[in-house]
Amino acid sequence: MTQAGTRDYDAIVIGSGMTGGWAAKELTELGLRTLVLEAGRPVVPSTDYSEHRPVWEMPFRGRGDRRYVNRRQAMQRNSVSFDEGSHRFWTDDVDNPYTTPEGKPFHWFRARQVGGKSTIWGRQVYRWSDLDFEANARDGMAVDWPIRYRDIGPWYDRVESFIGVSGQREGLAHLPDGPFLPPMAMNCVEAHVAERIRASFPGERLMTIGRVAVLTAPHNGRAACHYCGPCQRGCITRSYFSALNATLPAAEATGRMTLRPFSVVRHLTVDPSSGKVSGVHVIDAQTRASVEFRARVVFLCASAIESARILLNSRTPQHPGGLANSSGQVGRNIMDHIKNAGASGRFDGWADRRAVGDRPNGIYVPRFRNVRSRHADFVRGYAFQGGASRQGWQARIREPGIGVGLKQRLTDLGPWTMNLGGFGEMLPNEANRCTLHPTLVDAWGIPTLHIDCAWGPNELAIRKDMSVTAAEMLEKAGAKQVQPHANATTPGGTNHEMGTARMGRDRRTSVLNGWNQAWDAPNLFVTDGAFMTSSGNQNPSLTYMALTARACHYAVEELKRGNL
Amino acid sequence: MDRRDVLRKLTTGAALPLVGSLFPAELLAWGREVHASIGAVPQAGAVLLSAQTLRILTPACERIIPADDTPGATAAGVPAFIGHMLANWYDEPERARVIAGLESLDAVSRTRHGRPFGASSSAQQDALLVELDREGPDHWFGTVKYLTIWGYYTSEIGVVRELGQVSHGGRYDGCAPYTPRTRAASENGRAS
Repeated sequence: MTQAGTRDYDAIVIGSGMTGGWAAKELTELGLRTLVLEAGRPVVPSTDYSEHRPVWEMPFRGRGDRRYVNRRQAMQRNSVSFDEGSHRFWTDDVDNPYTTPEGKPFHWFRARQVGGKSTIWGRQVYRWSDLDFEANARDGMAVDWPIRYRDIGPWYDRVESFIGVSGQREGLAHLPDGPFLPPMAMNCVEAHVAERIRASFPGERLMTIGRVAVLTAPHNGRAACHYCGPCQRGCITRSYFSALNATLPAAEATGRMTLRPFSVVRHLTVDPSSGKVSGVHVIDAQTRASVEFRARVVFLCASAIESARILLNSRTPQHPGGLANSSGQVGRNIMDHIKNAGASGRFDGWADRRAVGDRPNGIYVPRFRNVRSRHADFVRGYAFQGGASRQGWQARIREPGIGVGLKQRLTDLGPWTMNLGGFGEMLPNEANRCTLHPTLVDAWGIPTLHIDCAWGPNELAIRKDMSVTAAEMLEKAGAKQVQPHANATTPGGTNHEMGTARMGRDRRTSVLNGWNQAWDAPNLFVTDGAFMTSSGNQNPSLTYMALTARACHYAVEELKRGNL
Repeated sequence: MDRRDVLRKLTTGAALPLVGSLFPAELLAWGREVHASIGAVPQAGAVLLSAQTLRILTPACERIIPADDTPGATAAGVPAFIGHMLANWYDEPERARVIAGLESLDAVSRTRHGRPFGASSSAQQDALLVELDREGPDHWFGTVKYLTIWGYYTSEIGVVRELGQVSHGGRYDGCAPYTPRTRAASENGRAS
């Protein structure tokens, strides 16, 4: 029985978001009394969500309190889904500082509340294949993944079956299908472009509807999406997957979860004789009191860079480089996905058609570079996301004129435009790393990070190619005024940061083994994006969730065998 | 339990698992009700603008987005919105620039038409505003016009009456019929 006030548990999960929620669900369902530590505040859906609040009821009409945001969230505001309703789901930059070298910015988007970034994620979910798991070995880069698709496939099934993924089966070997709910519809222009791409690039390129963790049919007690639009403000009908909407309630239902908000993990302590993690040192965010919790197994799910920070802050005289860092790889190999390149174009037909309802999803063009052929300029590849829409008044807010004529021009829908935006793979590079800042601390006195990360030549070559092939496809589809673009973009800006405690086959060159288990501390599992050995070009959360579930089952088996 | 009971129960937040039994339109309505109960919206910016400034700003907004067969900027509360944004969103130099600009508009009106801007005819007002509009978006009038459009099309009148964005019944149709709004000609709201 879990006693109120106890400090001893079977398992501790650090973080309550995308992966922490999964660890909580799996470990409690497997019978472990589990403490979930969340650095931020609780979230109450009925009062903290605001997705149905009409724009005219928002004091700043959806754009947020500029002065407050400039003062307290000057970095977080760069996230694409940051708005007046959702800004509360990002951290306060003043309380949570970090530094970057002069001229080398890095966007570190962070969420500190129950549910973490799973409340504000983009919800796009794509499986990896062996094209991705074999990539490092094939290219002779970094280290080889210790797993292959056969190791993760069943766990993708398990996760997708629980979270609910809508999508279209395409039978692609390098983008495997899952147990999809019915796909969302393309609009008329997207359907036309999809047909033209298939006809113009047979067997090479295709455009499908996005695979998205949003329900198109009732699923596990959650309602189907009603297309209201701003998912990032929450979802009272629990139609999109988040920890708050699905995994934490499942863990709660077991009666074995203790969720402790306002619990900032400062460091982990290690038993020097066994090498195992013996405690989790927490600073209460409200009282600032220190408290230590103990468990037989610890899951670190604090988000990739935050988890690296906790490991680095767990340094001792015996381990001056931090916990689980005999390889020296903790904090290294930061990866994101390169974006902000692609093309847009105008379609002159369908003037008598519009989209009704706000579809929280777009289209997807799966990777086609370096799949069956080899590109001369770069390794790996990229996928496109995007969609077609008719411009509204926002696009014409600088329209000349005044009066009824202006009013009419603003009210009328503009032409259809279609946008394709690339998401490209980033290679692992040991020089892209975070280190403990020598002096700067956060609001709780905990040393923060210095992040030094930049795109490499392969990413820049990918970015260039994204603008070329996107324009090519739009032109083949009959778009007018096709405008390729390849704009500067800041690493971290895609919010897919990963790689800071990589998996590998050799404890000398990696932090984790093929079960997400720290080589140096067998009862420590790191299952957020930190474990990623390469980045693929797929949105990564699905892979994080699948390997979290797998690691939980492995850890419980190991506990039963007496190995932890 | 019938649907009405489910809905009532949901507004108390006590029966989330039951949402699966509702139709999409009911979910949307329920969601709105829940969020509406969160609390009153803070009344935007008490600082706002002086009565003198509002006597210039209000007719300017109304001539930018006039009432015709739908209400215009004044009915949509645009002048108060602009006051709020100038007080709480823009920085002091921009607020001062816009207020000085509005005062200069009044002065030009007195010189050219012999009466304050607010007391001149619609045609006289339009003539002055069209001149300012030609200065482009970086002019102080560009800020007023930008805020007028933003404020109007994000007001309840702008969204519901002008754009006709009402509850869509919780569905997505990517190829729905569209006909542009046809408007009655209006003497007061001449096009420009």
